[in-house]
Amino acid sequence: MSNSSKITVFTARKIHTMEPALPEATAIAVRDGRILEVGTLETLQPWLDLHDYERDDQFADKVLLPGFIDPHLHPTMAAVLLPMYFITAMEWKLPWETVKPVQSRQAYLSRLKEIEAGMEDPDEPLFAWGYHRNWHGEITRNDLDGISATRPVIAWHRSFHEVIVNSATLKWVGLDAENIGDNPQVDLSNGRFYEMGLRVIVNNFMGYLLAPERYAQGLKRMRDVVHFGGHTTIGDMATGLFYLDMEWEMTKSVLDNDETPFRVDLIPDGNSLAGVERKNEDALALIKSLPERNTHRLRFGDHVKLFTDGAFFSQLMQLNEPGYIDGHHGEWIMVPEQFEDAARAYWNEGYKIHVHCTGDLGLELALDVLEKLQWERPRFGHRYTIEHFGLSTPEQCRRLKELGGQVSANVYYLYELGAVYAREGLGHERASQMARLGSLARAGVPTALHSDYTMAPALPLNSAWVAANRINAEGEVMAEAEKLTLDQALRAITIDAAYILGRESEIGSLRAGKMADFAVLEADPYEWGAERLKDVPVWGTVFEGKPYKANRP
Amino acid sequence: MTPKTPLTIIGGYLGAGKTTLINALLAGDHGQRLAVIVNDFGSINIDAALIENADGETISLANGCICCRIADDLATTLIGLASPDRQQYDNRIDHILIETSGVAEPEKVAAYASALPAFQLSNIVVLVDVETFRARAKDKFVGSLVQRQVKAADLLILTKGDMLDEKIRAERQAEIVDGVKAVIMEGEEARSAPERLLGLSARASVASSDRHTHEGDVPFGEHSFTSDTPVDVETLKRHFQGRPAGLHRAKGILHISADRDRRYVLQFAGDRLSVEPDRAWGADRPQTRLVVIGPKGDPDFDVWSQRIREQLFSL
Repeated sequence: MSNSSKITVFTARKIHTMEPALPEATAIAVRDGRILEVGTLETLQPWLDLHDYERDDQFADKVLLPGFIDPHLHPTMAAVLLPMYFITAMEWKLPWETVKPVQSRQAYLSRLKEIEAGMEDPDEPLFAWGYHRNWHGEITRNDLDGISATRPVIAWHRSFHEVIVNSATLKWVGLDAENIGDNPQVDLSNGRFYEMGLRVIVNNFMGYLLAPERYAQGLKRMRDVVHFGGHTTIGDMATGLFYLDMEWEMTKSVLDNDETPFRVDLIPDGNSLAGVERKNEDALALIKSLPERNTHRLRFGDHVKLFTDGAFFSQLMQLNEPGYIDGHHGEWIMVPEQFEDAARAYWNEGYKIHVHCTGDLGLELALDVLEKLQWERPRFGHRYTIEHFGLSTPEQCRRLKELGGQVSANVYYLYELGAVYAREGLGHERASQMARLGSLARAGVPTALHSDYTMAPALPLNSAWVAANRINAEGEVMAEAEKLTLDQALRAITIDAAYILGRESEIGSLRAGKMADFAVLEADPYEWGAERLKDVPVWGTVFEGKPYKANRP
Repeated sequence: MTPKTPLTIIGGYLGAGKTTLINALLAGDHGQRLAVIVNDFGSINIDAALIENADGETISLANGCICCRIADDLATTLIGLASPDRQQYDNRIDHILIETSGVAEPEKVAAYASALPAFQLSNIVVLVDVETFRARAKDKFVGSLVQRQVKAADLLILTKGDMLDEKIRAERQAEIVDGVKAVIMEGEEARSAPERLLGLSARASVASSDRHTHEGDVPFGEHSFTSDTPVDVETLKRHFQGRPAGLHRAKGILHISADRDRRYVLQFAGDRLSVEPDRAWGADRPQTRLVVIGPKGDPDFDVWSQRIREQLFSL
């Protein structure tokens, strides 16, 4: 590598390196996107004596941490959602606005009215995401007709499984009583379409939602969201979930340029790519060839995504006894035997397998298969990762350690769903122990946090705040013993998240030789403490040595 | 409104024989235009000579049946099958069969699919591998699922029993059918008489209080009739009044003398007979097709059935 580039020395009020051997510093020298040395202006001097450099003091009053890493989100899915308006029960901090919590029926309708009044184009449909009956009560076609008689207004449920629309929407998409018939999952008079009924109407929207300009706008918004959270690396944890080539082309055309202040590790979806014919060999051959497409920012590697049980937000996770309170059953995404076959195919080729697991029975399957594979063909450094980690038992945490597994958790479940699932489905005991991260820490299992955006906000400090405080949306602290310490929580969004992606020797901490990726903060999270973690303002990032200030509302 | 197309769900765990059954149905001589929705074409075994046309998602057969692969999701495939051009005679579909994934709950798929206005659930058929059921039913991960699959069945087809010693087989079959409220058939029986699957509407009996439970392993027998001669519906009704006690169900399309322009649907289930007018014959050949089901080998049933043939169809 050429040594002719100039060195940049960034000074900061404080630098938290996440390197125990040198935990704090005040200056950092960078060249060609990499860190030369972390320390003080004094310790950096030998570099500066021999080479050209410039000093950049713009962060003199700021605090630097390694750039945050979210190892599991879905940029191409989020791109569909992000052009919509958010009207949500929870606060959502977005680069272009902070969405205030809207927690009553009246407030929901007023907010809709307000948005409608502010829209310039009278024909533009109003898509609002985030409706939830628990908070917003019953909203009907009649209510939405009150918002507008002429503009299509679509209230999309937080779970994506339901929409409520006004009469103008029905007119727009050309649906009426005649062509809908007596569909039990359509309540036409109230404008409600859900589950299978949703398909009847959504097919009419998709052309609009996936129109290239709108979709590209969504991906650009996704870029801003990722940047705004302080990330410099993310994992697209299921590339090929829909259409591999389309996802790749769109990602490449929007994100693969210098306007994007982060890199994306793409983890192919071994389930979708095997097709329904379960051709693991074909998927494997394709996955092996994907790294040939790599660019500087977009990278495939030796990781693959597989699935056990259903979605946490839909209560479709598979549970051990005693199951759900109302007696319903979870689902398997992959047939257990087919999951095992696929896992074996990738295991024997040396892949790092990420398994989507939400319930404790789903986790049990992932662990049983790992144990079998270890018996058949022992591996070290296999990085078998449990993704999401909704429900688990303490014994499973110890077993994970035994078998060398690791966890990437969506801890936000606890915040948004803790109180709700305590009342419905799980009961308080199990609901309060979702995302059992304290047990993992005690067992010594490497643990990262992720957002699975938009299942959770893509705000690593917010996720770390949930992990370190375990406060649910109603203000109750749930299962104190499962908290992470402040330091563990911050490691889970930096160096331990890098470990999950297998990139720990390049990123995740600040030391000589690593990439010069920083999260630039307006305050010191270690000073503010766990309780105020989520409020620490993010100025922006430095990606490969170049500062990028984030847009803020 | 156009009549609803009947929909049969074919469920069961991996390896239970769903594909074998579907292959038999596609090749069967039942005269119905089936649309079979499968997860993949990989194991569907269609004689190349019978294939009229094949694109990525659909294979059309010379006998009028089509086989569709689920491309995006089941809903999109079904919506495609409900499109108006399918209402035209040459393109019509008489019956839709959905093969579920091995871990699907057949009842959920049934509820999901029949939520579309164009379709009406006819039957949930579930196949069970007699040889492996016992182990599967105890499996930590799929045990409760395979048990629920069996419970969801209107028609339960026991497969792969022939691999077992007769005594073990009887024992295993008894375990499976214990407490099950479904019509039970053996795999060979189902494959060789596919019209049984398509013709009977077990749903009708589910709705009635008198849902027959199969006793022991006495199988059902059936008689089927086809006739171009119009039938006198009153004579037929009287004949049903004198039915044998064991008559389980009957279903058919009637060509009746009093109204030769349209089809009538006959249903007998739960002790009730109904004959309802249906759509016009249109370009279809007017023809009565009737299936009656009762205890196999029961002389009363056989004699009564024989008399249908003599009295009504031999003119």
